[in-house]
Amino acid sequence: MKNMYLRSSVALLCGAILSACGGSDGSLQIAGSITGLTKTGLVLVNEGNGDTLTIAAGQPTFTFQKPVSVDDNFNVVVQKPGPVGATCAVSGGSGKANVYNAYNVQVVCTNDPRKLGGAVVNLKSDGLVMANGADTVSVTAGAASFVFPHTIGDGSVYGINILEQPKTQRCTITGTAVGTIGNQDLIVGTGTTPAVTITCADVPAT
Amino acid sequence: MKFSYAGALVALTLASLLSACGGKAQYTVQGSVSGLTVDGLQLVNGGQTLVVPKGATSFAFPQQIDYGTEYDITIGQNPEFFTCGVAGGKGSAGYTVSIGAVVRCDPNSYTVGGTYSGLVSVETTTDTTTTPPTTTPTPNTVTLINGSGAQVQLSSATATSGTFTAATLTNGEVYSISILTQPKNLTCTLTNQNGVIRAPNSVTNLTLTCVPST
Repeated sequence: MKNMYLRSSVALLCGAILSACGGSDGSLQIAGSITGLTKTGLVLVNEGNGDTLTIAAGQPTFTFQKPVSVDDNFNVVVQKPGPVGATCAVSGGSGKANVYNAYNVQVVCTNDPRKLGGAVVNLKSDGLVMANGADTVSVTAGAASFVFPHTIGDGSVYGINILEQPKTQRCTITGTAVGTIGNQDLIVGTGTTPAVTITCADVPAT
Repeated sequence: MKFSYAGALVALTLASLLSACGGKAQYTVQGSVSGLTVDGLQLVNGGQTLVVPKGATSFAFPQQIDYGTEYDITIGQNPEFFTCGVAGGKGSAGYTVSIGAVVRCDPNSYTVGGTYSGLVSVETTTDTTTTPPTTTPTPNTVTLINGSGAQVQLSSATATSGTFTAATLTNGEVYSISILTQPKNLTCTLTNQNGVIRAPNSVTNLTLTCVPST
């Protein structure tokens, strides 16, 4: 009984191996994983056979529908223009198809970096520290603007607060202190609008 | 030529084997270290204590041990506000070619949070598929963010008041909590939303107070 099972499973295995190597009318489906995709608009193309595949935001894996044969050339690329505000890169996406490489294509997407900052008015004292969560920036007397040291990804939320007030002044925030960053930097600059304006006023010494 | 090389190699191997058996091979109790960005780590093995300085990527106890001697590397003292662990730190010298324990250190986590109140439901949903129709309060929610980092949503469906955690951070990190979205028909205000984590204390003094919008 045991032997029968063993034999039949060996036979099955042989069959599977043979079909994997020799048999070849399209037994492989190119597949892989996707990380970091928070946006729509990603379309993958297998340039080997022209197959295209639309990927949804947040989708963790993908499988091309059109099968390819062993030793067929495949080359998975991101169809232009790609998702707006993100950049996706493919690794392990090309070669002659076999069971080892066909299912292991990796797509890594990163939302494009955006700068976050603000305008500063009437800051005559040192000590002002701005925070966006754990990201902080010290703003010195006389500064007319500030930019947080870390960029944030396109589409990220942010929340700007005054962590420390300057020594002899009190500052207030106006503008969009809490929001979502879009397709451009929110800083003082040509063609950009800062997220917030910090206005500082003298306070009488106590 | 080839043969004489082979012969020499065999001789060498035999010699080293012999020395290993007779001459009591010595083993260094050692390993790798990762994540150690502060001073204060002490490793212990069989009564020996080794101080491992910050930035170290490896360690080795000064006194070697004989073949067959048991070793058991443990954490004698964690660096302040860090927790370290040892993997593969226990065994018998010579069981593997060399001893290679793995020590990994991570900063302790501290939470930022507080209490919230007044998060009531202001709408109801009526399910007409039941007889009689059932009316239930629609959950009302407020979302807090720590800048572009952690995000948490509080819901009236859980409780109209209670405690919350807005972020989990390590010693010395700044927190700066904002209200990303206000609940419907309510206006919430946050106090004590900014600060710095001072271990070993978690932050519990934030207050989020929601009142009907005027």
